[in-house]
Amino acid sequence: MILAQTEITTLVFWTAVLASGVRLSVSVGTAAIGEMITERAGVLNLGLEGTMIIGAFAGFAAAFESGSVWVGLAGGALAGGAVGLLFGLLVVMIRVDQVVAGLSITLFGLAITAFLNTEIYGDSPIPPRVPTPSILRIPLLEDLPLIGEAFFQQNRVAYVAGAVIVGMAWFLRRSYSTIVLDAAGEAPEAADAAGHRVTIVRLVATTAGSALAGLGGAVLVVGQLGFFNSNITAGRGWVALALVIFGRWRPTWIVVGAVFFGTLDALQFRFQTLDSAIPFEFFIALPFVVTLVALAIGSRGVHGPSALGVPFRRSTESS
Amino acid sequence: MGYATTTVRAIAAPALSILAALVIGGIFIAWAGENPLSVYRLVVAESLFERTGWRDTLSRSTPLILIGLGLAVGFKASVWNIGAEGQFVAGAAAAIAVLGTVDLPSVIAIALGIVLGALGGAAWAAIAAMLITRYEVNDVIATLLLAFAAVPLLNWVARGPLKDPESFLPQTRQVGSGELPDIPWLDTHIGIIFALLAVAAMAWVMRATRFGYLVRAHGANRNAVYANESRRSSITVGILLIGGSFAGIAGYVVLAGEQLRVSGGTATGFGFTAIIVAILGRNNPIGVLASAVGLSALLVGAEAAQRQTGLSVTLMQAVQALIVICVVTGNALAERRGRTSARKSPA
Repeated sequence: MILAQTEITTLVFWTAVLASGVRLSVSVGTAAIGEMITERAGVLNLGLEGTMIIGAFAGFAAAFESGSVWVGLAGGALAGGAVGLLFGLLVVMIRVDQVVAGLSITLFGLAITAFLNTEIYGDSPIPPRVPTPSILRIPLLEDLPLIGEAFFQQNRVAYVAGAVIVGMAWFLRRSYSTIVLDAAGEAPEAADAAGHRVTIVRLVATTAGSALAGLGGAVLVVGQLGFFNSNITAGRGWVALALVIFGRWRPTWIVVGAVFFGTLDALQFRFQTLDSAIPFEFFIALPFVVTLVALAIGSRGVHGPSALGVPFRRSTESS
Repeated sequence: MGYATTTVRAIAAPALSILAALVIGGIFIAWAGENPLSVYRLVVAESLFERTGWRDTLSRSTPLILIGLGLAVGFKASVWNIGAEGQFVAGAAAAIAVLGTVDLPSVIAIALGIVLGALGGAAWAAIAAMLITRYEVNDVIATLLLAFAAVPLLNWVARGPLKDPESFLPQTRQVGSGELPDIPWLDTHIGIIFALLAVAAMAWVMRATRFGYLVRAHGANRNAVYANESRRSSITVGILLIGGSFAGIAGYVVLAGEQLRVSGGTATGFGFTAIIVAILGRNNPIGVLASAVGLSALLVGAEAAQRQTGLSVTLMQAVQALIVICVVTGNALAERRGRTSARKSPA
């Protein structure tokens, strides 16, 4: 299908773009909220991409074997949480360098899921599929211009992931746990002196954050695509990491960023078929370039949690 | 605690860690229905004791050594350039853009190719350097997203502006007189000699120059460096440009030694494997050389094992990452034990 240039000016076009943009944003948004929780406790998890793809594969396998989308989502979150617990043990307890451990987890996740997928499901050009969930239409609201299709005509998994994101954002806004979480990331010594177990807080935050990343991966595969391929996350984990910075470690802005990025991605897909002089490869590169530009505009003078990436060692500890 | 125990620990900890990673890999091999011992035996036999095997190991390790050297400088200074894949691609594209159109004597063409590769890689890294130093973008994100952007652009270059008009495929012209000759009696191209020279040069730079000192100091305490020694941005920019140049030279070497043309298939992941190479080599030039050869042998052997048993090579890529995880964990544990026992016995 070749897209005519005049179509870009119509409401129909933008309604469709926004709808697929929101659809594309839920998986990366879920992972980004997870990473935000981890980082606010002071742990930088560069294993996000690997955790996400492990969640994606586990989610696919669980959904394929059980025949249930929901078992798939649970499988993705569990696998992500397990990877996060392992990562947490390495960087929080043993104090392995966070950047090194994170990068290794990512490289491990990308390779091991490719291996498991070949072994279990073969590497035929037509991968086995799981049925994607049906669309849930919210009456009346779905007819709203521009945003109706985007927010009130999505599949069930997208609503659940959206609810998890909003729920997390709300929980973090109101709860005492947030204060403890931020204390562990901003002033671990003070948190420790106040009687909080910084190590435990960081371990929990890393595990929970990674469970959300695994869920994000499962949402992508089980909730949208319906199949698994090696490298199916295609850099979404890294985009989620960028979104945390872009959103300045605040849930609302991360969600805004995720929708923005998702819309850009949707636009990119459509522009690839645009009948124009611009080569389609430029549009493939576009989301990454725009993310960089957004970070360049918004990064100056912005600092994450003060103790981000710094291992915590109790002064009374023997080693 | 005596000196001997420390030395034993320094060797034993990584050795045990690598063993642990291989055992975990072995569990996966057994699960896939193969005998782990015979697969590992096959890997070693094919990569080190077959003529084609060690030849492939050498040519495979060449780009990994070159890229790993540049990354190691950055990692040592805590400047995390993980987008070498993009710089590699940019170097290859810059080299073919010129060498594909001119006909020069071989020696000049090769020298020009190295310079062009370095310039291309450095130019791509310079974008990251500007984002990081001027706009305070996170280094990991800036370098990596630029690598993701570089790969589709490479496809366009091979399909559009640099396409070989006589070919039906989306690929550039051949590198022509810039092709690297083979080492006599070894039938592998001379790239490995460049890589060894680069190891020696970097070992000297890191050990004996002011730049090497600044890199180490920047990794230990960057604020002290900014306060006393160097402008905030210049050291980071320098490190990124060096990393980009080495990755770009690797791009030219792979182009001129193996692929001969640039196409979408030029980006094969050397830039990402080199991250493992640098970390395992403990950011030290000699260590980079050793880990590049070791990891290449593992992969070359794994490819032979895939041909003979059908066991996917992706497993050994996972084992590579496992080796890093186990080694850094082993080192961290050994250091803890070292500290504890040193405290217990004041000698």
